[in-house]
Amino acid sequence: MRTLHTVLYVDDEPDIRHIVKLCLELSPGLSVELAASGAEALDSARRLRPDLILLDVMMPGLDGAATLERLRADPGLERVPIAFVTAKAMPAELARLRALGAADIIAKPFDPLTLATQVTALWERLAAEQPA
Amino acid sequence: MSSRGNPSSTPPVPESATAGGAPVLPPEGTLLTLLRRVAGSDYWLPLFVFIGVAAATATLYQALRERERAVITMVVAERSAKIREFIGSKTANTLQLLSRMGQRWDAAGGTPYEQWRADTSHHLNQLAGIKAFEWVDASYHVRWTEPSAGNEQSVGRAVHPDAAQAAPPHNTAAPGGTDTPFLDFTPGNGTIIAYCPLSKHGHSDGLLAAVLSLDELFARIARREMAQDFEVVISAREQTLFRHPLPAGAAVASLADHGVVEVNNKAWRVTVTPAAEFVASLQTLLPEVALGLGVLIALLLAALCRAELIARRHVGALATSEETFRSAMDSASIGMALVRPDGGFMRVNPALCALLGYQAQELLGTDLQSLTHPEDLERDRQCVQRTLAGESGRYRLEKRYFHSSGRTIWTLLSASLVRDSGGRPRYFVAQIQDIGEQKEVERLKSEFVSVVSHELRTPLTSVRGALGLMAGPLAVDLPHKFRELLAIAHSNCERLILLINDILDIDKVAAGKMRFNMQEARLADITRRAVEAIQTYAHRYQVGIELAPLDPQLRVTVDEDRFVQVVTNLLSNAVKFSPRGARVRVDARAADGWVRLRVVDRGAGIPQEFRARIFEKFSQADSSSGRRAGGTGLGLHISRQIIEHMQGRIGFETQVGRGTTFWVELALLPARAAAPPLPQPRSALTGS
Repeated sequence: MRTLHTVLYVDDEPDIRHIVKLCLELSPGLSVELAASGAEALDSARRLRPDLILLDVMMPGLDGAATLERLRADPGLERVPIAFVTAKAMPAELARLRALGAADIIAKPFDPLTLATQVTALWERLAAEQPA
Repeated sequence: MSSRGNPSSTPPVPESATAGGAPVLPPEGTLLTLLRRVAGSDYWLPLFVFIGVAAATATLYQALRERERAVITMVVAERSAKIREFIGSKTANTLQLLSRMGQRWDAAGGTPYEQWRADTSHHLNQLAGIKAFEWVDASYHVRWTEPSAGNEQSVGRAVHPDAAQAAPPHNTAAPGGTDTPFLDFTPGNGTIIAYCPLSKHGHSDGLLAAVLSLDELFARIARREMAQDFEVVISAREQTLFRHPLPAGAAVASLADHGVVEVNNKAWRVTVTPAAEFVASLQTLLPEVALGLGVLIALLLAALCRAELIARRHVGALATSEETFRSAMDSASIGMALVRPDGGFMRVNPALCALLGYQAQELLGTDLQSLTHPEDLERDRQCVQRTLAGESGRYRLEKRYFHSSGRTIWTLLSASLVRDSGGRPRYFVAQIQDIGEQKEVERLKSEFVSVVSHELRTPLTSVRGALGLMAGPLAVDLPHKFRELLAIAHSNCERLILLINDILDIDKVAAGKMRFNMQEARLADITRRAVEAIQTYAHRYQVGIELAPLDPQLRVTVDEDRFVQVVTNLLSNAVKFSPRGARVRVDARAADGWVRLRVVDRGAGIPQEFRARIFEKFSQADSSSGRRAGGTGLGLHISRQIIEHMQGRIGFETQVGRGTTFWVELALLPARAAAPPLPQPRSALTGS
């Protein structure tokens, strides 16, 4: 099974971007790249080819859903797993995000001490589901 | 305490039955109330009809009876006349015989004994009822008797002076020497003696006496057909001479016929009384039939009369009711309509016309479906079908209609189905209320909650992350007091997050928007998820979690995330209220199609006064301890809502000072089979 190396986290809130980077880097060997908008996320993803992308939902400009669609439409990125990280955890919203094809939804505020474990577990689950 | 008790399900008690704690009695006594009720009811006229017809029937019955009695009396009189005629004829013939014998005596100037004996023997043999003949000489002593055998002692007997005196003087004999015989009664033996004066050469020559047996004479009469069914009594001078009794049965004295037969200038009283059986044979059932029919007709007429009165009253009440309904409908502030089962409008009120923007005639030419928003058509159709199928008598539905201008109107439709007496659907009574404002408020509230949720969670994410990192792996580089302050900040941040999450959940429950993704799951897996999720929290409180081995075959239908939320809540409560170093046990056992998952702690237990409201919102046994333990008082309320929505049950058992066991019961699925109907709750699971 391939090891999780690079995670791209996209959020318009600089504090949360910083916190997420600190939390995920508690896991040894994990590299976290940050993007402040959907457009920036597209550029970073094309450039970095991350193993996993974590997307905030409510962002100015390209929001999380639109960014996901762009990423899915981008050759070479269409198979990169994407999970949403959102504070808008209303049932209708969650259902909408799942319908878009999100691999998982992580609710804000997350537990900083278990976030890395949570993301790693997601990666392992996705890897296990992929055909060999 | 059991969570199964549901105070809200208690049926409402009518106010009139419980006001003042006792039933409300009418102000008057029962009898007076009854009389008033009868006086004001439909009973009087039918009663008069019944009495009138019944009285006429009784009169007819009496007339028929009288006529029947007259007929019987006439029959008895006819029979009686025949009997009297026969008695008179028989006695006259006998006396004429005696008179002729006396005339021959006179004509012959006496009769030699041998000739007299031959003559009398001849008559004794020929005529029934004559027992003996005697010749009494002029000195009134018996000289001859026939038959002589057995009557020897009579010869020489002096005739009773009365008989001698009763004999008319010789000189009063009828012209031609014929004297009329006279009669004497012999009391006690049913005989009479007829005497005929004799003369010879113009001088008295004694008496010719004939002893007659009336029993034999009239027994022959009684055997005749004419007297077979009658009692016949002949009496004279207050003395019964003859009685012909009935062979069996009683006589009807009230129908007796009394007559008189003149026998030799003496009056014999003849009483003829018919037998009851004979009377009965002449009677018919006509009077009884007439009486029965009359009473029946009286009852029928009374019933018809009452039915007519009731029908008239009902027609009047129906007209009043219809007028009241029409008036109420027309003046109602919400839209109302009578709708056929196929959806067509039968009647609409002005409020509905105003709501939908149509004239009444326009609506009457269309149906509800044509005005319904396409997205609501199927739900409405299903409700109508279920109601028509008899699953319920009414339904309520929030749905949208199109206004004549084309805009959409949110309404609350309440429809009740009216059936005819045969149970066939007639029409729906539909009440259509504009809930546009309410919907707008709901939308704004939902939007507000969503915005607040996001706007609160976003900064909290940063605060929680920063505090969590500082209080966790980075805390080793901080002074002790800083670590204490960070721990306080981190703990209260967690409380704030829990509170926000719980408030959002409460809002979802109240709005019915909590969504459940019900799936088949292994109880062991989802329980393990909850235990793993709480481990960090338990570690902080230095409380161990002991998960007993769970049977992997136990499968339930749940929303996994919501079930984990409930178990996590029960575990966090158990951890919070357990002493340091204690262990919380999680186990499960199955029985009769149900499984009970238990969370057992050895904490202080739940105080008695708190147990009844433990599942209510914002309830905490001790507010100070609740704050100390970091609870919001919403967790158990939400847990119960979730479990009940999943067709399960939640409850607890507790002992103060020894600990508490919270449990959740769910219906089990058969291994690898489709979900069967939920079994009924089993008391064995609640009693442990």
